Formats: sequence, C-alpha cells, structure tokens
Amino acid sequence: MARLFWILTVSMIIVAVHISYVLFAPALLFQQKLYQATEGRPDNSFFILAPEKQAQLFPAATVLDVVGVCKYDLGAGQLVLSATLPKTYWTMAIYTQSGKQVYALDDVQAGSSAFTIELSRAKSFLEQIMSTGDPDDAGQIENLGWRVETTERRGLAIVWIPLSDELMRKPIEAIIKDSRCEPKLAG
Amino acid sequence: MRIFNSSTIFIVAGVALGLGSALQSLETWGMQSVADSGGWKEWRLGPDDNLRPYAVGHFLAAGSVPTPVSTHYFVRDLDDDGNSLRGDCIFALDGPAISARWWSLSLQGSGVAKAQAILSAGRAILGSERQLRATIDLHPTPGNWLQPPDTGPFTLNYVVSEPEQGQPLTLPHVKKGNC
Repeated sequence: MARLFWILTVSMIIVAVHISYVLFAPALLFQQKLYQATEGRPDNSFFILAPEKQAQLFPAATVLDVVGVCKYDLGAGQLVLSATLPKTYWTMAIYTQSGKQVYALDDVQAGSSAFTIELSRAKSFLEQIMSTGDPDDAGQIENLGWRVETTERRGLAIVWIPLSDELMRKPIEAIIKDSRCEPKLAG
Repeated sequence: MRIFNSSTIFIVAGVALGLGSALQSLETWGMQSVADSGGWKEWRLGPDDNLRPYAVGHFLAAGSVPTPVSTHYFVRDLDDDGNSLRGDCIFALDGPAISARWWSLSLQGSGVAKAQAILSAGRAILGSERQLRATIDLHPTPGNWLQPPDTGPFTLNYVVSEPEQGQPLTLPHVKKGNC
C-alpha cells in the first residue's frame, strides 16, 4: 500500500513539475534574455535591432533583414503604434510576454504602407461584468485605425522586413525610423 | 527518520525527473518530421497544434519569439541518406522553389547564434520550371552557393512565409557529394 502511495505521489510530482516548467519557465527565461538584448531601450518606444541581434530575437529573420521592435508595457494605459513601412513584403506581429501571438498584419492585409494600431489590455471577465460603459466601449472608439486587445500587460510588437541584399538595409531603415510606439494621449 | 529520508528521496527524484523530462521535451517534442521530405523537420507552431507549447517554450527559452503563425520554419542537420551535414563535405540541394511571399535558406554552425550563409527568394537563381538548385561548399561554386561556417557540423534552416494556399510544400532534397 505504501509503495503504491509513493508511486502515485512521485508520478504526480513528475507531471506537475513537467507542466509547470514547460508553461512558465520559458517565459521567465525569455524576459531575462529580452532585458539583456534590449538593455538601455525604454519600454513603449520603437527601435531597429542591430543585424547581429535580430536573428536571435526573431529566428525567421536573417542578418540581411530589418527588424523593428516595440517593447510595450500597458501598465500606464493604451498604446498607439504608428508605422511607416516600405512598399515591399513586410509582416508585423504582436506577442505577449509569454510568447502568444495576438495579432499579425502584412503589407497586403494593411493595404497601405502607413497605418496605426491602438493596443490595449483586454478586460478580465470580472471587469466585463462590472463595466457599465466607459470611454473604451464600442460607441466611443475613435476612428484611429486598427484596435488590438492583449491579455497580458507586457509584450513585443515586431516588424519584420525580409531583404535579399544588405545594401537595401540603409534605405529601408530610413523609411521605418519614423515609426512610433507611444502611450495614447488622454483626451 | 527512515520514513523522512525515503520520502525526501522520492520527492527529489520526482522533481528531478519532471525537470529532466521538461528540458528534454522542450528540445524535441516541438518538432515533427515532414513526410517524404528526406529529413526535414518542422517546428510545430500551428495555432491548433497540441504540442505548440513545447515549440513556443523552446523558442522563448532561447530568448526568441516564435515565428509568426503564417510562417513555416523547417530545419535539418542530416542529408537524405542520414549523413550529418558538415562543412568539410559538399552537398547538393535540389527541389521545386516554393510559391510563397518570402522564403530563405540559411546555414547555422553549431553554437553560433546567427546564420552564416543566406539564399532567399529575392536572391536565388531558379532553373526552368522554377527548380531551385544550390551547392553547399566551403569554396565558391557557380549558381546558387551556400558557404558553411566552417568544416564542422551545421544546421540548414528553411523559413517559408505565407506559402500560396492550396499548393503542397515540397521541400528540397539534400544529397552528399565529395568530402
């Protein structure tokens, strides 16, 4: 009987540790490595990664490509992403800090090389029940562009522009450097 | 005292086994072999894939975000006959070019974070009937050429972004030549 108890106990410990590690440890490791990779870059600002760092953060990219990043924190409220991109193939993806992709857009879907996305935190189930209508509700949405809600406060928005020649990097950087990622102004 | 000791050993063993299996599964469970491809494996990043947490966990633990859902990420470190891909041998890559918004082939040496050689949709020379042929060799060769990082083992990465709907993803074969 005691042997059966310990077999069941050890089995449950194995399963619990396995699931906990797979679900939570990689996200914690990622935050630590992201902090090191983007040290000195403030949250809620858009910046272009150096070629030697971009393939590490975004494995689909090669050293020839251009990768722009916004490390967002919605703790202080909504965020506005305003991007100016070249008339070539590009992809923009928004991730939570646990690696979940919440939104993606490419040049064809956008239909324009300049666009704006408003990023906000989704209301929890309790907040939805308690809400009696506030400025975020549908009737009050400004005609700003796309609106994306994320379930986590922190994460990354990544713009990837694949290129076939490193000589194209400078002109493409010049086009996208005016992109913005900043808190939404009140009012 | 004896019960305390044995229970501690069981708990520590359970934690160690759980941790070990998690680390091992993050390395391997997130990938699956691609049928009839000669050795290509794909990261299981599809939104409905049951093993997606392992693939996502693998990328996050390495300090990377997973590739976008619209992108396929294939890797291989063996040729079609099961030989290791090594820089001291010549390999021939041959297959139909994939119809996609973008694709890139790159070589990555072991322990090197960034890919060393790159062949992409905008750079590759395609043959008649859109055939993609390339040579992996330390020394320059005519046509599409990928240079290994050194004489040691390397991994071949194939990133395909937004492939044409309804078209099968036929991946190129890799055959070993002279060493």
